[in-house]
Amino acid sequence: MSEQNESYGAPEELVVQITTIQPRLYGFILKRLADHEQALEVLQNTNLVLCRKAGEFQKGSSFAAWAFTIAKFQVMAWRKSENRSRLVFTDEVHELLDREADEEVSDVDRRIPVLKRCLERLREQERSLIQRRYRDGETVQALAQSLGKTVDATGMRLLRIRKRLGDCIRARLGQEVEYGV
Amino acid sequence: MASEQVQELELLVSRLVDQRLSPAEAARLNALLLESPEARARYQEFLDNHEALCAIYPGGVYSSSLDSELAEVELPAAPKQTAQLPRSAWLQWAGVAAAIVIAVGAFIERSDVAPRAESSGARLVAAVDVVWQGNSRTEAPNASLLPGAALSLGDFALAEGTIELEFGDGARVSIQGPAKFELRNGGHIHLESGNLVARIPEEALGFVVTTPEAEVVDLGTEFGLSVSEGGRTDVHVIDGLVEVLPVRGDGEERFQISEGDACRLDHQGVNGIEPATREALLEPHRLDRYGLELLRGAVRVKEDLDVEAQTSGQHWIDIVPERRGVLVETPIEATIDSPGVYRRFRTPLGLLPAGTRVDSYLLHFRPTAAEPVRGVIKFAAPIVAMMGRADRLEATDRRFGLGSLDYPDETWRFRGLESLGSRTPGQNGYPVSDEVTLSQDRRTISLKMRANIAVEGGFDQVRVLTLSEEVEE
Repeated sequence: MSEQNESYGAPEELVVQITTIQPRLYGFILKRLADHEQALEVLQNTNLVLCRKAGEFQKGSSFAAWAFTIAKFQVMAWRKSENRSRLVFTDEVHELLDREADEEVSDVDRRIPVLKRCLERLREQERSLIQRRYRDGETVQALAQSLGKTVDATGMRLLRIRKRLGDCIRARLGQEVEYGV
Repeated sequence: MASEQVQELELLVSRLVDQRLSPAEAARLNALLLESPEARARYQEFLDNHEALCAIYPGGVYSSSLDSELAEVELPAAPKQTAQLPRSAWLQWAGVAAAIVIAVGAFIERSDVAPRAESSGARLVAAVDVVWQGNSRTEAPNASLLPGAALSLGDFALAEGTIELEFGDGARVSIQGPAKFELRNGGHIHLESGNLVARIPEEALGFVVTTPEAEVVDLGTEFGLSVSEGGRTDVHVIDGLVEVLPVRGDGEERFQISEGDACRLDHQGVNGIEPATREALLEPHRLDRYGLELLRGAVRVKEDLDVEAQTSGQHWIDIVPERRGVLVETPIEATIDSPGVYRRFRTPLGLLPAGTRVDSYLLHFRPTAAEPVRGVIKFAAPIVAMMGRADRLEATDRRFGLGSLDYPDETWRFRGLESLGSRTPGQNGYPVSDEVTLSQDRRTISLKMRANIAVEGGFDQVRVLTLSEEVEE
């Protein structure tokens, strides 16, 4: 992340850091749990640990790397304590999806500036829909209602926009993702 | 990977990020990811993009992980309270928590002051078991008076309970209902009937209370008044000196009485009586008796628990005092045990060790309105554990509850706090949840309780355990 290697000084600074990293932590956790509610619950637990362990944070090291490592442990703790039936992924799939946190973080870091350009290229209507969904946190149900469409139709529209964004990012990153079998 | 499978995966993942994945679809997603490395690569690419989108437009995550309404509440530029908090390194979050407590205070102050009513300079600092009465002279909505509210000039009628008022100059006045009083210009109270105790700091010397029979001027620190319906006035000097001016006289009968003395003024004139203590005047409703220091917002102390009752009009968070000085014999799982802002209550986050001696309180809220109800409670002793999950409440009812209270049995489906992500979205599609903030010193909790309008019946409860100094009888 951009604030890598920045050292943390005053406690206020850490609040800002923790607050800033929330969307990334959420995304990171969601990838592993595939469930919004559970991801938010683990995000809360992660925040508490980040606060509790702030003293152990090594000044001068990467805050993001530290935070993602803690999030990873919290996901594991959650998987242990939570009822199996609520977990989306089996242990096997969870392990198969696991990546080095560093790699994963820098991969997303790379995508952000590219994605910004791709968002600019969307049609106004499409961009507005994405903004309402992400920036304003509106649910698909709420969006559907205000657009006068069905929930499924709205979900499909979002899917199409996401695919377009995905194609745009892939093209600009200049590397076809390798889908080996 | 066949193209139909790619499409299926994309659909499943899109549903996942839109929070619409069914259990069957979740199982299908797991199967697809298990069998194909390509599917896993696609999944990670899609969710990396999702994470990047969340980073660019973080609003949605903040609104579900932090308090979306906080943004609408203007934070004071330099809150005095935060300056007093020790700034230990690990407590960044407590700063946020304190800001929220202050924000709630600011919210209450702003929302409860009637815009055009002239302020009396008095603020309601506590209300215990209070029932306000409809007002004859003004249309003032007395029923909505909440701790923290600035009171306007005018008449007030207290059917029952005890309130505590604080004036700008520091004078503190407790009034026990039934009582009728009027707040007049210049920080002056007229007590028509009821019991009152005034504690006056030096800066407020000369504080005046009038009754139908007398004008009482404080000349130093604490006095009590008891005024009957007919106006008969008893003056008790608890500490210091007061000057009394009988209304019936010609102004020449001004006299002073001092500490430990009392007199009665009525149609028979002025007579000495047996002095009463502060406790006798305000019994039985004093906040500190319950181990509480301050209430703000829609909170009140209630000594009974009626789970069936659905109060109309006012929505209160009831504080029901339970057993005191209970020794914890086996470790207890706590939903909340450290300072922070909580909107999820499912995971037990801490363990209260055996050997701790605690006082117990049950906070009870029967949600009826769509608007969130807010309150701040300051306890005299630090909070060591809170339990907001139905099974944890049930498991501790017997140990900490009072035999005289009627606890809900397991037939009540909804008990405990509502976690974020309850499946019923509230207005604007935002998820509905209760919110609890525990302050850094662990003595203050701030609550925001929401009604889950999609669920008929049910109520929000959380049990709060504070460190006890008492030994159970």
